Amino acid sequence: MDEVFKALADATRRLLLDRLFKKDGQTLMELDRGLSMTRFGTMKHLRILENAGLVITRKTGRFKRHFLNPVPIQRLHDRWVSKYALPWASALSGLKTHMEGIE
Amino acid sequence: MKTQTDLAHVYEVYIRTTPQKLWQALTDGKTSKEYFYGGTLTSDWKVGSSMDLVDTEAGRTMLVNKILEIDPPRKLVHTFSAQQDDEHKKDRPSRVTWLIEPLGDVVKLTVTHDDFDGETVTYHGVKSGWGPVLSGLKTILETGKALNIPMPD
Repeated sequence: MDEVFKALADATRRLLLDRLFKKDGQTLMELDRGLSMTRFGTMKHLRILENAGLVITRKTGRFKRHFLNPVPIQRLHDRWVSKYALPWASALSGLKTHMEGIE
Repeated sequence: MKTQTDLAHVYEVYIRTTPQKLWQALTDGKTSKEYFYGGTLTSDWKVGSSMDLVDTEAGRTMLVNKILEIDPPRKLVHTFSAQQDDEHKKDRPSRVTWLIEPLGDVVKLTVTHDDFDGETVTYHGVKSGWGPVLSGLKTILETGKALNIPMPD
């Protein structure tokens, strides 16, 4: 999970994830567009995201496509966010399950 | 049928379990209730058979699926048709592939959702849907406890 936190601790990498959320399966060339850094820099960021399991790559023809894998963020949410900021809906749903279990 | 290769979503999760246990959790309606938005997966697990996800309490069908390929405990391919509203129902069925690979004492589960008919409502809609399901599947297999995450709108 350290790798996921580290990967998310960078504005460019978060921007890359947002771009993939908007349009999955982009190539380096597409993802690189409009970023104020070299293509090599973008590649480096993508590699960090890939190593953290947040991005999955697939080669299709001569293109390498990048896909957003939200599962590590979901894990982070399940472990940290839901513990400290459990929304009312899930809290009540959990209470319901609990009460029904008691009956 | 034309398939646009970039129109896909790919998910990966590593689970501390065996391929057999993962397959069992995947194909058992009672277990699916714990991680698949409370839905029960019902099928006779044969090629060509339906594999719908049903909220049995509300009597509501959530997904209408059909099995295209089945190779326990390694691979499951099925069509996918979300039923939550007319917009989703209008999309022609897409395709989901579950691939289970043992890696030492963990199992790598890769889920590929593709064969979308363009950037459909379903294509965008499932983006927030798979994360909780796969994370929930990991939790139930590793701890035996469910998460109860509400379904996204």
